[in-house]
Amino acid sequence: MTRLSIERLEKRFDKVAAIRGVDLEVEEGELVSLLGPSGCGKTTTLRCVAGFEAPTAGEIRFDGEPVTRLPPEKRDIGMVFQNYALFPHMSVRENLAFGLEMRKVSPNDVATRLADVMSMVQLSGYDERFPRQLSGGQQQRVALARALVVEPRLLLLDEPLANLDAKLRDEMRFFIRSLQRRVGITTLYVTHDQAEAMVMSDRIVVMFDGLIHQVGDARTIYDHPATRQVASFIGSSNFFTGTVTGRDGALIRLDTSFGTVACGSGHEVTTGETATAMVRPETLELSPAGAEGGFSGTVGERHFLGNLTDYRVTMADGSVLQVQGSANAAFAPGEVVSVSLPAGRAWLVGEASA
Amino acid sequence: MNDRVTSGRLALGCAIALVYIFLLLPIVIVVAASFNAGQGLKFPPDGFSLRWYVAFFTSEPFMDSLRLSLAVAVVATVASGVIGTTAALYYVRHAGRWREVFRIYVLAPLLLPEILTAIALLFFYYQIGLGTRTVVGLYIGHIVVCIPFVFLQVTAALYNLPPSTEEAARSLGAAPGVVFRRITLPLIKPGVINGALFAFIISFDNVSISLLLKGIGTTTLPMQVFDYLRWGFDPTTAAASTVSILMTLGAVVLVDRLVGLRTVRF
Repeated sequence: MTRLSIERLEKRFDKVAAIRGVDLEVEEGELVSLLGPSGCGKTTTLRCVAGFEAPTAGEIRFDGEPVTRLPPEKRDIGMVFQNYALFPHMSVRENLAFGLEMRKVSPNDVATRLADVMSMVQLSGYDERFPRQLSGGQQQRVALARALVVEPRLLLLDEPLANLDAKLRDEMRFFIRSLQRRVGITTLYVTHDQAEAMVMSDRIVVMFDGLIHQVGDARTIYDHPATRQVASFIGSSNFFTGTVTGRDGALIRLDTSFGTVACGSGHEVTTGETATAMVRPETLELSPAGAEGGFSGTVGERHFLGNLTDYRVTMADGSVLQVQGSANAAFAPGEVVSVSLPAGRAWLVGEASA
Repeated sequence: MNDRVTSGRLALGCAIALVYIFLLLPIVIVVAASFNAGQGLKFPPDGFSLRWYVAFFTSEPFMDSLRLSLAVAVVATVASGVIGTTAALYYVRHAGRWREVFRIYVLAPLLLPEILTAIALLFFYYQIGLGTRTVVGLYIGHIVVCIPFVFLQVTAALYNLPPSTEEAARSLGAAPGVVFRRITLPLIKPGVINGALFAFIISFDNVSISLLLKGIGTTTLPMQVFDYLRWGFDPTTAAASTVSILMTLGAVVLVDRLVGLRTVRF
């Protein structure tokens, strides 16, 4: 089991900075996702760890030893690519045996390990098939088995589910996650799909524009996003700006143009400062007009989404909040309602820093 | 509606047949004329005979030129195969800022009129003192004009091979040399073979390069045929052409038998 450390990693392509200082520790046996929109530097980070890109600055360590200058074939990694990258001229067996052959594993051991790994990915009996004779899901499992059979120090996955259809993708999420737990291998997983990252990861690293904005488990990132970009990339959110007027215990009082909101915050703020808060649509509650502690607003649009109803409520100051409530509660468009916000469910978002 | 589709197809079929006739008829006539029993190069032939083949295979100048043509074609095929493949690998996988300039440079012999390439090489040979006293210049000239054909074929094959396939092999512990031997080369093989076949054919019936660069006192088969036609007009040249067609065809068949022109794609 290996611990991965990425220290002050930077990568420039000609004049474009793809990574602008990334620090990350992945603990032994942990699965960490790099999540972000395309061009955020997540794949470049993974490729630096794999050894396919040479970083402009910074260091990558496996268990404390620097590997930054080692070529990929000397790093003892297993990698799964978005297009699977199976060897089309080799059978499933030859694909899986390739890494073992490179490691000069004796033929007897090769046979045992192939049998083991093929049953592990539920492909026993497919030895002599060629990649083109397999379905997308099967090719994906071969790619996974090929990376795992060499018992690498680190498993690297680059959007491995992006080419699968939605149903298969859901199955494979759980399959990969349980396999990773069973093998106990340290894993770095690149994806742009927030649901995938949330289901699969111990921790999620959210990246934008070459910088890490936040590292945390799924709940932390969803409930307490560090920056506005994180909040808008993961789930839907309402943003509003106000002036900090003081504290109520752990909460911060934010005066907005539609009323005073008590917000949680992960960073220090000073009284008088202008700050932006976010609130998830499903944490807002609607009640008939005049209810205590609520802000007055008028229902604009209403959309029935099956499991819930989505409202757009226009507040006194003209700003519009998205509110999601139970499917039964019926507030008609045009109705004056009271919007209440449980204390601490609003969260102050900050700015990214390098 | 159906009738129109059918008559459209018929018209297309006729057009295709005409094109083929136009292209192949001259060859058929030459082949037929080579078996002429009479004196002249004429069609239809006056009876069947192999006398012109005997004349061809017993003629020292023809045999010398055939041997030289074959030797040049084989050397040009192998050398341009290696150089063209290497250049394609560099262009597709590694070339940086100057990649398009590099491509034009490699393709230049194809883009320029061949006679210009030949003149340029001729001047160059005399400048560096190589001259045309030996056949070395001829070999180099043929290699130069064959490289673009290999380059184009291998480039196309490489574009069909995603870099991740090679990267996967690296990640599994294969050094670059092993990756090339076990992954890249087997997967671009159809391109390399097609390119080499092109090179052989291009070299074997090349005229413009050979015209200027052949060594003094030596000549290639197409040049020999040309020279011979200037003095006489007997069917030996038709026999020579037929042999030449068979050689080219033979190369294609041989390659197909050995490795398969349609090596399975995916």
